[in-house]
Amino acid sequence: MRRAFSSACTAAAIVALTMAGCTANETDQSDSARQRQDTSAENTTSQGRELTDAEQILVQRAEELLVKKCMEGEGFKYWVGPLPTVDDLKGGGYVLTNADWAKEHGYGSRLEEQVQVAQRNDPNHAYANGLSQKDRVRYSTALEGGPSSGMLTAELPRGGAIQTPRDSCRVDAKDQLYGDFEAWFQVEKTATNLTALYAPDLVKDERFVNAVKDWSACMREAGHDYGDPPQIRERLPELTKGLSTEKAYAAEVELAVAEATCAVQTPLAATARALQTEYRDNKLKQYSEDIAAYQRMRLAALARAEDITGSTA
Amino acid sequence: MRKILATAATFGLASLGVIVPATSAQASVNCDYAWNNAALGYFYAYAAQGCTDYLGRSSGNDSDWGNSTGGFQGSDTNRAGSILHKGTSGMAVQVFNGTGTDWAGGHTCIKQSEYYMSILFPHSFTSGYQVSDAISSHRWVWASECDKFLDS
Repeated sequence: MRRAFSSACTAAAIVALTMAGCTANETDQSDSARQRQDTSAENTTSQGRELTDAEQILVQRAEELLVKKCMEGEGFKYWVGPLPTVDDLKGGGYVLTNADWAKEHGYGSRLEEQVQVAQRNDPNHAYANGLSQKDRVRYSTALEGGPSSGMLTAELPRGGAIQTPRDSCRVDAKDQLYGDFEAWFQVEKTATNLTALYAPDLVKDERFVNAVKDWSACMREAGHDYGDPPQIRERLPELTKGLSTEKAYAAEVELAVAEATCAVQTPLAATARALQTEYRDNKLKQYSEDIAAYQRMRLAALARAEDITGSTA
Repeated sequence: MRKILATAATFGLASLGVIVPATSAQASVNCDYAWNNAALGYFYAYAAQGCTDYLGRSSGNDSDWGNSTGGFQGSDTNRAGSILHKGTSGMAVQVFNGTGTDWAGGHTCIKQSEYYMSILFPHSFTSGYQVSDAISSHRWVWASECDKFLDS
Protein backbone atom coordinates (compact mmCIF):
# COMPACT_ATOMS: atom_id res chain seq x y z
CA MET A 1 0.00 0.00 0.00
CA ARG A 2 1.30 3.39 -0.78
CA ARG A 3 0.39 6.86 0.25
CA ALA A 4 0.35 9.54 -2.41
CA PHE A 5 0.21 13.09 -1.19
CA SER A 6 -0.57 15.92 -3.51
CA SER A 7 -2.56 19.03 -3.01
CA ALA A 8 -5.68 19.76 -4.92
CA CYS A 9 -6.84 23.32 -4.71
CA THR A 10 -9.41 25.33 -6.53
CA ALA A 11 -11.31 28.36 -5.34
CA ALA A 12 -13.10 28.45 -2.02
CA ALA A 13 -16.84 28.24 -1.73
CA ILE A 14 -19.76 28.58 0.53
CA VAL A 15 -22.19 25.72 0.83
CA ALA A 16 -24.87 25.62 -1.79
CA LEU A 17 -28.01 23.60 -1.60
CA THR A 18 -27.91 20.46 -3.68
CA MET A 19 -30.74 20.64 -6.14
CA ALA A 20 -32.09 18.02 -8.52
CA GLY A 21 -29.64 15.25 -9.37
CA CYS A 22 -28.92 13.41 -12.60
CA THR A 23 -28.49 10.05 -14.26
CA ALA A 24 -27.06 8.81 -17.50
CA ASN A 25 -30.24 9.31 -19.47
CA GLU A 26 -31.01 12.41 -21.45
CA THR A 27 -33.62 13.83 -19.12
CA ASP A 28 -31.47 13.44 -16.08
CA GLN A 29 -28.42 14.85 -17.78
CA SER A 30 -30.49 17.98 -18.12
CA ASP A 31 -31.10 17.76 -14.39
CA SER A 32 -27.38 17.49 -13.87
CA ALA A 33 -26.70 20.58 -15.91
CA ARG A 34 -29.46 22.39 -14.04
CA GLN A 35 -27.95 21.35 -10.74
CA ARG A 36 -24.58 22.75 -11.69
CA GLN A 37 -26.18 25.96 -12.86
CA ASP A 38 -28.33 26.24 -9.76
CA THR A 39 -25.45 25.73 -7.38
CA SER A 40 -23.12 28.06 -9.24
CA ALA A 41 -25.87 30.64 -9.33
CA GLU A 42 -26.15 30.47 -5.58
CA ASN A 43 -22.38 30.81 -5.25
CA THR A 44 -21.90 34.05 -7.03
CA THR A 45 -18.91 34.86 -4.83
CA SER A 46 -17.15 31.55 -5.27
CA GLN A 47 -16.36 28.79 -7.70
CA GLY A 48 -17.05 25.87 -5.39
CA ARG A 49 -20.11 23.69 -5.45
CA GLU A 50 -21.51 20.43 -4.20
CA LEU A 51 -21.23 17.37 -6.44
CA THR A 52 -24.31 16.17 -8.23
CA ASP A 53 -25.66 12.78 -7.21
CA ALA A 54 -24.23 11.18 -10.36
CA GLU A 55 -20.84 12.76 -9.70
CA GLN A 56 -20.84 11.40 -6.15
CA ILE A 57 -21.49 7.93 -7.51
CA LEU A 58 -18.68 8.26 -10.04
CA VAL A 59 -16.24 9.17 -7.26
CA GLN A 60 -17.46 6.20 -5.23
CA ARG A 61 -16.96 3.90 -8.22
CA ALA A 62 -13.42 5.18 -8.71
CA GLU A 63 -12.68 4.61 -5.03
CA GLU A 64 -13.94 1.04 -5.29
CA LEU A 65 -11.78 0.40 -8.37
CA LEU A 66 -8.73 1.67 -6.51
CA VAL A 67 -9.56 -0.48 -3.49
CA LYS A 68 -9.98 -3.53 -5.72
CA LYS A 69 -6.59 -2.97 -7.33
CA CYS A 70 -4.96 -2.56 -3.94
CA MET A 71 -6.66 -5.60 -2.39
CA GLU A 72 -5.69 -7.77 -5.35
CA GLY A 73 -2.15 -6.52 -4.89
CA GLU A 74 -2.37 -7.79 -1.31
CA GLY A 75 -3.40 -11.21 -2.60
CA PHE A 76 -7.16 -11.04 -1.99
CA LYS A 77 -10.23 -11.09 -4.17
CA TYR A 78 -12.39 -7.97 -4.08
CA TRP A 79 -15.70 -7.14 -5.74
CA VAL A 80 -16.58 -3.54 -6.61
CA GLY A 81 -19.72 -2.22 -5.05
CA PRO A 82 -22.51 -2.14 -4.21
CA LEU A 83 -22.96 1.42 -5.41
CA PRO A 84 -26.02 3.65 -5.05
CA THR A 85 -28.11 4.74 -8.01
CA VAL A 86 -29.06 8.39 -8.49
CA ASP A 87 -32.55 7.57 -7.28
CA ASP A 88 -31.09 6.02 -4.12
CA LEU A 89 -29.54 9.37 -3.24
CA LYS A 90 -32.71 11.39 -3.78
CA GLY A 91 -35.63 11.49 -1.38
CA GLY A 92 -35.48 11.71 2.38
CA GLY A 93 -35.10 14.92 4.32
CA TYR A 94 -37.77 16.99 6.07
CA VAL A 95 -40.12 17.18 3.07
CA LEU A 96 -40.20 15.63 -0.40
CA THR A 97 -40.02 18.23 -3.16
CA ASN A 98 -39.67 16.03 -6.25
CA ALA A 99 -43.10 14.70 -7.31
CA ASP A 100 -41.60 12.64 -10.16
CA TRP A 101 -39.35 10.79 -7.73
CA ALA A 102 -42.25 10.38 -5.31
CA LYS A 103 -44.44 8.94 -8.07
CA GLU A 104 -41.76 6.38 -8.81
CA HIS A 105 -40.64 5.56 -5.29
CA GLY A 106 -43.17 6.84 -2.75
CA TYR A 107 -41.13 7.53 0.38
CA GLY A 108 -38.45 5.15 -0.86
CA SER A 109 -39.51 2.03 1.04
CA ARG A 110 -38.62 -0.32 -1.82
CA LEU A 111 -35.31 1.43 -2.39
CA GLU A 112 -34.61 0.97 1.29
CA GLU A 113 -35.33 -2.74 1.03
CA GLN A 114 -32.99 -2.98 -1.96
CA VAL A 115 -30.26 -1.19 -0.02
CA GLN A 116 -30.64 -3.68 2.79
CA VAL A 117 -30.42 -6.62 0.39
CA ALA A 118 -27.35 -5.12 -1.27
CA GLN A 119 -25.68 -4.62 2.09
CA ARG A 120 -26.44 -8.16 3.21
CA ASN A 121 -25.38 -9.72 -0.10
CA ASP A 122 -22.11 -7.86 -0.60
CA PRO A 123 -19.94 -10.71 -1.97
CA ASN A 124 -16.95 -9.36 -0.08
CA HIS A 125 -18.62 -10.30 3.21
CA ALA A 126 -19.08 -13.95 2.26
CA TYR A 127 -15.59 -14.16 0.81
CA ALA A 128 -13.87 -12.62 3.80
CA ASN A 129 -15.91 -14.53 6.36
CA GLY A 130 -14.97 -17.75 4.55
CA LEU A 131 -11.27 -17.14 5.12
CA SER A 132 -9.36 -18.64 8.04
CA GLN A 133 -9.24 -16.48 11.15
CA LYS A 134 -5.63 -15.53 10.40
CA ASP A 135 -6.37 -14.58 6.79
CA ARG A 136 -9.58 -12.78 7.78
CA VAL A 137 -7.61 -10.53 10.11
CA ARG A 138 -5.04 -9.98 7.38
CA TYR A 139 -7.85 -9.19 4.90
CA SER A 140 -9.51 -6.79 7.29
CA THR A 141 -6.21 -5.07 8.03
CA ALA A 142 -5.42 -4.71 4.34
CA LEU A 143 -8.87 -3.32 3.56
CA GLU A 144 -9.59 -1.17 6.59
CA GLY A 145 -6.28 -0.99 8.41
CA GLY A 146 -5.74 -1.71 12.04
CA PRO A 147 -4.62 -0.08 15.26
CA SER A 148 -1.01 -0.97 14.47
CA SER A 149 -1.13 1.40 11.52
CA GLY A 150 -1.98 4.29 13.85
CA MET A 151 -5.24 6.13 13.99
CA LEU A 152 -6.32 9.59 12.92
CA THR A 153 -8.82 11.40 15.11
CA ALA A 154 -11.35 14.03 14.07
CA GLU A 155 -13.51 16.00 16.47
CA LEU A 156 -17.15 16.20 15.44
CA PRO A 157 -18.99 19.55 15.47
CA ARG A 158 -21.66 18.22 17.85
CA GLY A 159 -19.12 16.69 20.20
CA GLY A 160 -17.39 13.36 20.32
CA ALA A 161 -14.60 12.16 18.09
CA ILE A 162 -14.20 9.67 15.26
CA GLN A 163 -11.12 7.61 14.52
CA THR A 164 -9.91 6.00 11.35
CA PRO A 165 -6.69 4.19 10.41
CA ARG A 166 -3.82 6.00 8.72
CA ASP A 167 -3.03 3.20 6.35
CA SER A 168 -5.14 0.69 4.41
CA CYS A 169 -6.30 0.01 0.89
CA ARG A 170 -9.32 2.22 1.61
CA VAL A 171 -7.02 4.99 2.82
CA ASP A 172 -4.81 4.59 -0.24
CA ALA A 173 -7.81 4.94 -2.51
CA LYS A 174 -9.08 8.07 -0.79
CA ASP A 175 -5.56 9.49 -0.71
CA GLN A 176 -5.24 9.10 -4.46
CA LEU A 177 -8.67 10.60 -5.05
CA TYR A 178 -8.68 13.49 -2.57
CA GLY A 179 -4.95 14.26 -2.63
CA ASP A 180 -4.36 14.21 1.13
CA PHE A 181 -6.28 11.64 3.12
CA GLU A 182 -5.52 13.13 6.51
CA ALA A 183 -6.82 16.55 5.49
CA TRP A 184 -9.80 14.94 3.76
CA PHE A 185 -10.74 12.96 6.84
CA GLN A 186 -10.78 16.10 8.98
CA VAL A 187 -12.86 18.25 6.64
CA GLU A 188 -15.24 15.43 5.69
CA LYS A 189 -16.07 14.73 9.32
CA THR A 190 -16.85 18.41 9.84
CA ALA A 191 -18.68 19.17 6.61
CA THR A 192 -20.98 16.15 6.83
CA ASN A 193 -22.01 16.68 10.43
CA LEU A 194 -23.43 20.19 10.33
CA THR A 195 -27.16 19.89 9.66
CA ALA A 196 -27.99 19.39 13.30
CA LEU A 197 -26.34 22.72 14.11
CA TYR A 198 -28.97 24.74 12.22
CA ALA A 199 -31.98 22.58 11.30
CA PRO A 200 -33.60 22.56 14.77
CA ASP A 201 -33.68 26.39 14.77
CA LEU A 202 -34.70 26.58 11.13
CA VAL A 203 -37.86 24.53 11.61
CA LYS A 204 -38.91 26.92 14.40
CA ASP A 205 -38.40 30.01 12.21
CA GLU A 206 -41.71 31.83 11.73
CA ARG A 207 -41.21 31.92 7.96
CA PHE A 208 -40.80 28.16 7.90
CA VAL A 209 -43.70 27.58 10.30
CA ASN A 210 -45.98 29.68 8.09
CA ALA A 211 -44.86 27.81 4.98
CA VAL A 212 -45.66 24.51 6.69
CA LYS A 213 -49.14 25.85 7.50
CA ASP A 214 -49.67 26.66 3.82
CA TRP A 215 -48.45 23.17 2.90
CA SER A 216 -50.83 21.64 5.45
CA ALA A 217 -53.76 23.56 3.97
CA CYS A 218 -52.82 22.33 0.51
CA MET A 219 -52.68 18.75 1.77
CA ARG A 220 -56.06 19.12 3.46
CA GLU A 221 -57.56 20.32 0.19
CA ALA A 222 -56.09 17.23 -1.45
CA GLY A 223 -57.80 15.05 1.12
CA HIS A 224 -54.86 14.44 3.44
CA ASP A 225 -55.08 16.08 6.85
CA TYR A 226 -51.55 16.41 8.23
CA GLY A 227 -49.94 19.18 10.21
CA ASP A 228 -46.45 18.64 8.83
CA PRO A 229 -44.51 16.19 6.64
CA PRO A 230 -42.98 14.13 9.48
CA GLN A 231 -46.51 13.37 10.67
CA ILE A 232 -47.17 11.45 7.45
CA ARG A 233 -44.09 9.25 7.89
CA GLU A 234 -45.06 8.59 11.48
CA ARG A 235 -48.63 7.56 10.62
CA LEU A 236 -47.83 5.65 7.43
CA PRO A 237 -47.08 2.26 9.06
CA GLU A 238 -50.45 2.34 10.84
CA LEU A 239 -52.26 3.52 7.71
CA THR A 240 -50.90 0.64 5.65
CA LYS A 241 -51.20 -2.04 8.33
CA GLY A 242 -53.14 -5.05 7.05
CA LEU A 243 -53.09 -3.90 3.43
CA SER A 244 -51.64 -6.04 0.68
CA THR A 245 -48.12 -5.13 -0.41
CA GLU A 246 -49.42 -3.49 -3.56
CA LYS A 247 -52.13 -1.49 -1.79
CA ALA A 248 -49.72 -0.39 0.92
CA TYR A 249 -47.26 0.81 -1.68
CA ALA A 250 -50.00 2.61 -3.60
CA ALA A 251 -51.02 4.41 -0.39
CA GLU A 252 -47.37 5.35 0.24
CA VAL A 253 -46.98 6.71 -3.29
CA GLU A 254 -50.24 8.68 -3.12
CA LEU A 255 -49.17 10.44 0.06
CA ALA A 256 -45.62 11.03 -1.13
CA VAL A 257 -46.80 12.58 -4.39
CA ALA A 258 -49.28 14.78 -2.52
CA GLU A 259 -46.56 15.88 -0.09
CA ALA A 260 -44.12 16.78 -2.87
CA THR A 261 -46.77 18.43 -5.03
CA CYS A 262 -47.97 20.62 -2.16
CA ALA A 263 -44.38 21.44 -1.24
CA VAL A 264 -43.82 23.07 -4.63
CA GLN A 265 -47.35 24.45 -5.08
CA THR A 266 -47.03 26.31 -1.78
CA PRO A 267 -44.01 28.34 -0.64
CA LEU A 268 -42.68 25.45 1.49
CA ALA A 269 -40.02 24.05 -0.86
CA ALA A 270 -38.69 27.44 -1.88
CA THR A 271 -38.80 28.76 1.69
CA ALA A 272 -36.99 25.71 3.03
CA ARG A 273 -34.21 26.02 0.46
CA ALA A 274 -33.82 29.75 0.98
CA LEU A 275 -33.75 29.35 4.75
CA GLN A 276 -31.27 26.52 4.51
CA THR A 277 -28.88 28.78 2.62
CA GLU A 278 -29.48 31.62 5.08
CA TYR A 279 -29.04 29.48 8.18
CA ARG A 280 -25.94 27.77 6.87
CA ASP A 281 -24.42 31.14 5.99
CA ASN A 282 -25.21 32.56 9.42
CA LYS A 283 -24.67 29.62 11.73
CA LEU A 284 -21.80 27.78 10.12
CA LYS A 285 -19.35 30.66 9.66
CA GLN A 286 -16.75 29.02 11.88
CA TYR A 287 -16.77 25.98 9.59
CA SER A 288 -16.61 27.90 6.30
CA GLU A 289 -12.96 27.02 5.61
CA ASP A 290 -13.58 23.33 6.23
CA ILE A 291 -16.68 23.41 4.02
CA ALA A 292 -14.73 25.15 1.25
CA ALA A 293 -11.89 22.64 1.55
CA TYR A 294 -14.40 19.79 1.49
CA GLN A 295 -15.91 21.08 -1.75
CA ARG A 296 -12.47 21.71 -3.31
CA MET A 297 -11.27 18.23 -2.48
CA ARG A 298 -14.44 16.59 -3.79
CA LEU A 299 -14.18 18.47 -7.09
CA ALA A 300 -10.54 17.43 -7.39
CA ALA A 301 -11.58 13.84 -6.63
CA LEU A 302 -14.20 14.06 -9.36
CA ALA A 303 -11.57 15.02 -11.94
CA ARG A 304 -9.40 12.11 -10.84
CA ALA A 305 -12.38 9.76 -10.81
CA GLU A 306 -13.10 10.66 -14.42
CA ASP A 307 -9.54 9.65 -15.33
CA ILE A 308 -9.69 6.46 -13.29
CA THR A 309 -13.04 5.29 -14.61
CA GLY A 310 -12.63 6.71 -18.10
CA SER A 311 -16.13 8.15 -17.89
CA THR A 312 -18.02 11.23 -16.83
CA ALA A 313 -21.12 11.64 -14.72
CA MET B 1 -40.47 9.76 18.85
CA ARG B 2 -42.06 7.06 20.88
CA LYS B 3 -39.18 6.78 23.26
CA ILE B 4 -39.80 7.58 26.88
CA LEU B 5 -36.97 9.66 28.23
CA ALA B 6 -37.57 8.56 31.78
CA THR B 7 -36.99 5.01 30.68
CA ALA B 8 -33.75 5.98 29.05
CA ALA B 9 -32.62 7.71 32.20
CA THR B 10 -33.47 4.65 34.25
CA PHE B 11 -31.51 2.39 31.97
CA GLY B 12 -28.63 4.81 32.00
CA LEU B 13 -28.44 4.90 35.76
CA ALA B 14 -28.83 1.16 35.99
CA SER B 15 -25.95 0.70 33.60
CA LEU B 16 -23.72 3.02 35.53
CA GLY B 17 -24.41 0.98 38.62
CA VAL B 18 -22.92 -2.20 37.25
CA ILE B 19 -20.40 -1.10 34.69
CA VAL B 20 -17.07 0.39 35.59
CA PRO B 21 -16.42 3.12 33.05
CA ALA B 22 -13.37 2.37 31.00
CA THR B 23 -10.75 4.95 30.27
CA SER B 24 -10.57 6.06 26.68
CA ALA B 25 -7.39 4.04 26.11
CA GLN B 26 -8.82 0.91 27.72
CA ALA B 27 -11.99 1.26 25.74
CA SER B 28 -10.06 1.53 22.50
CA VAL B 29 -7.92 -1.51 23.29
CA ASN B 30 -11.03 -3.55 24.04
CA CYS B 31 -12.75 -2.35 20.88
CA ASP B 32 -9.64 -3.16 18.83
CA TYR B 33 -9.96 -6.74 20.07
CA ALA B 34 -13.67 -6.79 19.23
CA TRP B 35 -12.95 -5.29 15.81
CA ASN B 36 -10.42 -7.97 14.93
CA ASN B 37 -12.85 -10.72 15.91
CA ALA B 38 -15.99 -9.24 14.37
CA ALA B 39 -17.50 -10.84 11.27
CA LEU B 40 -17.46 -8.68 8.17
CA GLY B 41 -20.80 -7.25 7.07
CA TYR B 42 -22.20 -6.64 10.54
CA PHE B 43 -23.00 -3.80 12.87
CA TYR B 44 -22.44 -4.60 16.57
CA ALA B 45 -23.62 -2.96 19.77
CA TYR B 46 -22.46 -3.47 23.35
CA ALA B 47 -23.99 -2.45 26.65
CA ALA B 48 -20.70 -1.30 28.12
CA GLN B 49 -18.10 1.11 26.91
CA GLY B 50 -15.14 -0.45 25.12
CA CYS B 51 -17.15 -2.94 23.06
CA THR B 52 -17.84 -5.26 26.00
CA ASP B 53 -21.10 -6.78 27.28
CA TYR B 54 -22.30 -7.81 23.82
CA LEU B 55 -25.90 -6.90 22.97
CA GLY B 56 -26.19 -8.15 19.42
CA ARG B 57 -25.24 -7.76 15.80
CA SER B 58 -27.12 -7.15 12.56
CA SER B 59 -26.41 -7.23 8.83
CA GLY B 60 -29.77 -5.56 8.08
CA ASN B 61 -32.13 -3.03 9.63
CA ASP B 62 -33.86 -3.21 12.99
CA SER B 63 -36.58 -0.59 13.51
CA ASP B 64 -37.19 -1.50 17.15
CA TRP B 65 -34.50 -2.81 19.46
CA GLY B 66 -37.13 -3.36 22.13
CA ASN B 67 -39.34 -5.88 20.31
CA SER B 68 -38.75 -9.57 19.72
CA THR B 69 -37.47 -9.43 16.14
CA GLY B 70 -34.21 -8.38 14.52
CA GLY B 71 -30.64 -8.44 15.69
CA PHE B 72 -31.44 -6.47 18.83
CA GLN B 73 -34.34 -7.41 21.08
CA GLY B 74 -36.10 -6.73 24.36
CA SER B 75 -33.87 -5.02 26.87
CA ASP B 76 -31.31 -4.10 24.20
CA THR B 77 -33.15 -0.84 23.58
CA ASN B 78 -31.66 2.21 25.28
CA ARG B 79 -28.69 0.22 26.57
CA ALA B 80 -25.87 0.58 24.04
CA GLY B 81 -22.71 2.09 25.46
CA SER B 82 -20.50 1.38 22.45
CA ILE B 83 -21.02 0.37 18.81
CA LEU B 84 -18.90 -1.12 16.05
CA HIS B 85 -19.26 -1.04 12.24
CA LYS B 86 -17.61 -3.78 10.21
CA GLY B 87 -19.51 -3.57 6.95
CA THR B 88 -17.63 -3.37 3.68
CA SER B 89 -20.60 -2.44 1.49
CA GLY B 90 -19.75 1.26 1.74
CA MET B 91 -22.92 2.03 3.66
CA ALA B 92 -23.17 3.85 6.96
CA VAL B 93 -25.16 2.65 9.95
CA GLN B 94 -27.67 5.24 11.12
CA VAL B 95 -28.71 4.80 14.76
CA PHE B 96 -31.87 6.40 16.11
CA ASN B 97 -33.20 7.65 19.39
CA GLY B 98 -36.71 6.50 18.44
CA THR B 99 -38.31 3.45 16.90
CA GLY B 100 -40.39 2.77 13.81
CA THR B 101 -39.92 2.54 10.07
CA ASP B 102 -40.53 6.26 9.65
CA TRP B 103 -36.96 6.55 10.93
CA ALA B 104 -37.81 9.86 12.57
CA GLY B 105 -36.37 11.79 15.45
CA GLY B 106 -32.73 12.26 16.34
CA HIS B 107 -30.06 10.14 14.73
CA THR B 108 -26.34 9.85 14.25
CA CYS B 109 -24.19 7.71 11.97
CA ILE B 110 -21.12 5.55 12.06
CA LYS B 111 -19.58 5.15 8.61
CA GLN B 112 -17.37 2.57 7.00
CA SER B 113 -13.76 2.75 8.18
CA GLU B 114 -14.77 4.59 11.35
CA TYR B 115 -14.42 1.27 13.21
CA TYR B 116 -16.28 1.94 16.42
CA MET B 117 -17.51 4.46 18.95
CA SER B 118 -15.82 2.99 22.01
CA ILE B 119 -17.46 5.43 24.42
CA LEU B 120 -20.80 6.84 23.34
CA PHE B 121 -21.04 9.41 26.11
CA PRO B 122 -19.65 12.38 24.18
CA HIS B 123 -21.82 11.69 21.13
CA SER B 124 -25.23 13.26 20.61
CA PHE B 125 -28.12 12.61 18.28
CA THR B 126 -29.14 15.33 15.82
CA SER B 127 -31.91 16.13 18.30
CA GLY B 128 -29.32 17.02 20.93
CA TYR B 129 -29.96 14.03 23.20
CA GLN B 130 -27.01 11.88 24.23
CA VAL B 131 -26.50 8.70 22.24
CA SER B 132 -25.24 6.66 25.17
CA ASP B 133 -27.95 4.33 26.52
CA ALA B 134 -30.45 5.79 24.06
CA ILE B 135 -30.21 3.86 20.77
CA SER B 136 -33.54 2.22 19.94
CA SER B 137 -33.24 1.35 16.23
CA HIS B 138 -30.80 1.32 13.34
CA ARG B 139 -30.63 0.99 9.57
CA TRP B 140 -27.99 0.79 6.83
CA VAL B 141 -27.98 3.84 4.57
CA TRP B 142 -25.87 5.50 1.92
CA ALA B 143 -23.67 7.97 3.75
CA SER B 144 -25.28 11.07 2.24
CA GLU B 145 -28.47 10.22 4.13
CA CYS B 146 -26.69 10.98 7.40
CA ASP B 147 -26.63 14.76 7.03
CA LYS B 148 -29.64 15.62 4.91
CA PHE B 149 -32.22 18.33 5.60
CA LEU B 150 -33.89 18.44 2.18
CA ASP B 151 -34.11 15.97 -0.67
CA SER B 152 -32.17 16.49 -3.89
